[in-house]
Amino acid sequence: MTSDFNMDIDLLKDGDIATYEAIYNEFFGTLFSLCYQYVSKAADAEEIVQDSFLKLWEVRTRLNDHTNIKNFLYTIAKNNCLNFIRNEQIASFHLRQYGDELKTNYEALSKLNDDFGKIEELRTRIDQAVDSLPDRWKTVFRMSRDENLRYRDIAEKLGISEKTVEANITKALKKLREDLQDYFTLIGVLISMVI
Amino acid sequence: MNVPDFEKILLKRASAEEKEKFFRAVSDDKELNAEYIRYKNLWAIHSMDSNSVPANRRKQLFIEFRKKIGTGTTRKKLFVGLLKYAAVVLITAGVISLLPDYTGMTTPPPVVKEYSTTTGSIARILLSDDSEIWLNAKSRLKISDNRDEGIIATLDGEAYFDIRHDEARNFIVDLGTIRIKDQGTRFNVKAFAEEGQITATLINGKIDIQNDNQKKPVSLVPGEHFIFNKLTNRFSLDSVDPSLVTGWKDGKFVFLERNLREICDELEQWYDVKILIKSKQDEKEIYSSVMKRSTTIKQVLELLKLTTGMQYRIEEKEGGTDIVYLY
Repeated sequence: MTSDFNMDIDLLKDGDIATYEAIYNEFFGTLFSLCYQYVSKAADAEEIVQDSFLKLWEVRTRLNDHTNIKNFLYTIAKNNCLNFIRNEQIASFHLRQYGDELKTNYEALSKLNDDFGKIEELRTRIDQAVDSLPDRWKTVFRMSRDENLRYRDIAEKLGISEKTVEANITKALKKLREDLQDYFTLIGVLISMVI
Repeated sequence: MNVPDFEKILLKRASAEEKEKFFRAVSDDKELNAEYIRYKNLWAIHSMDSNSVPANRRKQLFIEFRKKIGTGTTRKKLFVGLLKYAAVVLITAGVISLLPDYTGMTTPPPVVKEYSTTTGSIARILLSDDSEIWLNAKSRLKISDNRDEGIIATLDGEAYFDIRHDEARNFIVDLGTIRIKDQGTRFNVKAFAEEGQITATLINGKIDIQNDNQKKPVSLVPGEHFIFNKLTNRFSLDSVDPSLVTGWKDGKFVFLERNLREICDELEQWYDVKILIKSKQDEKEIYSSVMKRSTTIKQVLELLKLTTGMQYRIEEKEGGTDIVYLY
């Protein structure tokens, strides 16, 4: 099983359940965590990702050697998320309070790269940037994201004050943004050449 | 705005009020908007994690996945349903090309195309400008395209329209006394000839509804639901959750406060079975449910058993319609 799943196209076409399970185990969480950033409820994100896999099953006989499975699953999930946000916008249009947030989420998601390969590249760069953070910042940053600890818990664990935790996360994010600034600039130039 | 505020939002630690204030500010400021979005996407990519779903939860989800893709004897029936769908789509796969410009000709004949669906099948019609029309079961749609009037769709049944707005040509749904004009939209129309009312629900965009009995057209905004009573010629407006109305297009059964007999009638059509309910009392019980049409009949019956306690027995008929007994 290679990480881009493409060696298994024939097995997928044949409906080999073990292959589906392997891809599911490897990729469900990744897609879920991405979708969860744009739709507010975990249950909805789960259903959206589930739908992507169901779609893959549905069209399995039409898969060919050039089909990029990860990209396929990602594209379905992304579009489902966009539709989901749209429906939420309509359903809650009279509740002014969610309108702006939904609008921003929709815009952000539609700007997310179409090519999952590019997203993985960016992910690697981000990881490298986090790695290059000074140790203290890195620890706090990682703990906060990965373990979803509250500032208070992190402060307790590390024996520092909550304010220090908050300051460290701020600095880490700022440095992260600076490190990736040149990447943004590059993307910006490429986009403007294409439009 | 400071980085800490972004960060609170991204880590989902902000209160509802903080969020409201924050997103309003972002909406109002283009630069802030662009910066936030860049950050947001970075953050989203950074938080991708294959272990974000605990293993036991993921196992459970995979079990649900397996259930949904279906196994067992009822699978054959499912394919028949899918085939019916595919067949209708194939027939209608021909794209309606919008008329070329016949300058110099007097009146080019209108291009007319007709589509119809049987029970248990849905059709998807693509127009050459990427507009889409979904036709629900037991429905007929006639599309006529002529230079002066634009595109006129005559509908007997239920359809969902996703129309690319074009200033240069009209798109009108003709339902007799009511005509619906698109203004760049997605909307659902239900107008069965034998039913006493016509309903139109706007999902997105804007539509104008012209009524023979009114001078001014009625404009709908998204989420609004227009109900026209053919007997009294009166209409009313309501707001509704559109996903309830267009559920059929996404391949879902949507039953809102329907009695068991009505629900079974629809299941009979879709699954090609006959359902016999032993007790008259049971037939009158009211249920609401939303279910994917890809669910197998066995899964539906199991669900019914869980909800109502009713037992079922399937009698398979070779080369004929299976009979389901509910008791």
